[in-house]
Amino acid sequence: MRRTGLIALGLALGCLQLGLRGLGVDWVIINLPLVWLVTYLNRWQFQDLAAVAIAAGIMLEIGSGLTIGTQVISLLLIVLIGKLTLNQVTEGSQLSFSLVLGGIATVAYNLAVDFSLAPREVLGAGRSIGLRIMLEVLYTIVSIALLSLAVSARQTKQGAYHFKATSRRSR
Amino acid sequence: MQRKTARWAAAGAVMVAASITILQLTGLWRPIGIVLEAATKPILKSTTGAFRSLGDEFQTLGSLGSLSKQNRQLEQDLVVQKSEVSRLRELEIENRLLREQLSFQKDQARSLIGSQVIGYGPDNVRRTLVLDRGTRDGVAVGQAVVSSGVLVGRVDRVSDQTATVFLVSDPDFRVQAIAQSERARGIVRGQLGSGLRFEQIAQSETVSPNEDVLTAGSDKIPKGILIGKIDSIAKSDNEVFQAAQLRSPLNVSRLEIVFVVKG
Repeated sequence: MRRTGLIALGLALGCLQLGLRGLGVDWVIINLPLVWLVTYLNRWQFQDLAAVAIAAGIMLEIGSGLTIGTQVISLLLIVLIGKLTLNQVTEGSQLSFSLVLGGIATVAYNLAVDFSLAPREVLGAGRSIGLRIMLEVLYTIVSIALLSLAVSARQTKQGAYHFKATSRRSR
Repeated sequence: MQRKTARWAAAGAVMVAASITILQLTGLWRPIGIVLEAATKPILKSTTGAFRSLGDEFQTLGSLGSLSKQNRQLEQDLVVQKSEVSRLRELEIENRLLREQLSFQKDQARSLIGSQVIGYGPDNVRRTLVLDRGTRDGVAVGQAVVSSGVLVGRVDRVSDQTATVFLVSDPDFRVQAIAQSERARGIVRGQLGSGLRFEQIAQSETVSPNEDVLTAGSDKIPKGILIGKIDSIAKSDNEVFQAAQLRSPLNVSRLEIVFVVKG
């Protein structure tokens, strides 16, 4: 049941990403599945994150102009590398780790997409690519920070409620 | 123990991702894809629709100040357009009469498949659209996609119920084109982040600003579809070819309905 929910979440994230340009944004849009996965990296288990990554990746494949499989594999790689490196991080520095990972993943993802084009194209539009990547990194970092704060606040609230309920019951 | 489980989970996830990719590449993914598309198409359609309405609201709010000025301009344009329409009607009648006298065959009407835009490309580099029509509606790879008579792009990938379209502004898009009045031939291609480029035009040809550029007819893309207007020309005596920057009259992120040209 939980796995079905995770797959549905992944598909929903994919749908949101594919519809995002409907807002009228013609230049830079944020990568929602990436933001979600990086934010929940230290909160969810690998299996759960992988289920979301695969479902979102499959959905993104529908609208992607890239080679088949690129979206699924890139999202899964983010989870895999993130989980492997997360073990080296201390408890207090997890938010900064998420921000750095989000930034690096955005740059890597964009470079991978850019280099799927002819080198002439990439060289010709170097400045525009750089600007676009910088803007997307900024979007990603801000979104991860806001989402992390919201999730932490919710967890603290839930924890306080749980504590109150159990102490009332024990009395 | 926990580390061992994590390792197995990682290996399992990688296997799943690799299997999905292989299934997609070999075409064996099709039955799963059909079920998945049927389940997600309504969600995708409504998500995009919701985002589009939200975008419209923002745009309306942003343009409130200039609306009355724009309205006056449109009213003036309408008067000009009305006189133009009546002039064109006259020309059409005259053209029909002349064709009848010369016993020309009537142009075959293009067969179009109306389609709704249900999604857009997920990244910031490739320019794509997702349409709610697929192979079962007669859509095939390579067909042209138009909106209001203007070329939107070319079908790149088709599944049973959806199609992915490469927009004219995508860097991998190429189409043979011809300038309407001077008949200069060349190739139009999308450029990363900076619109359309009409290139490989021979130095001996003449192109002028504001001239319409149309498709020259190639493969599954019919002749005579408007691509855009010439914005600026880059000509140098040292170069073999000249090139021009085009502007498309379409705002792709606002497209809702497009037509796939069948043949």
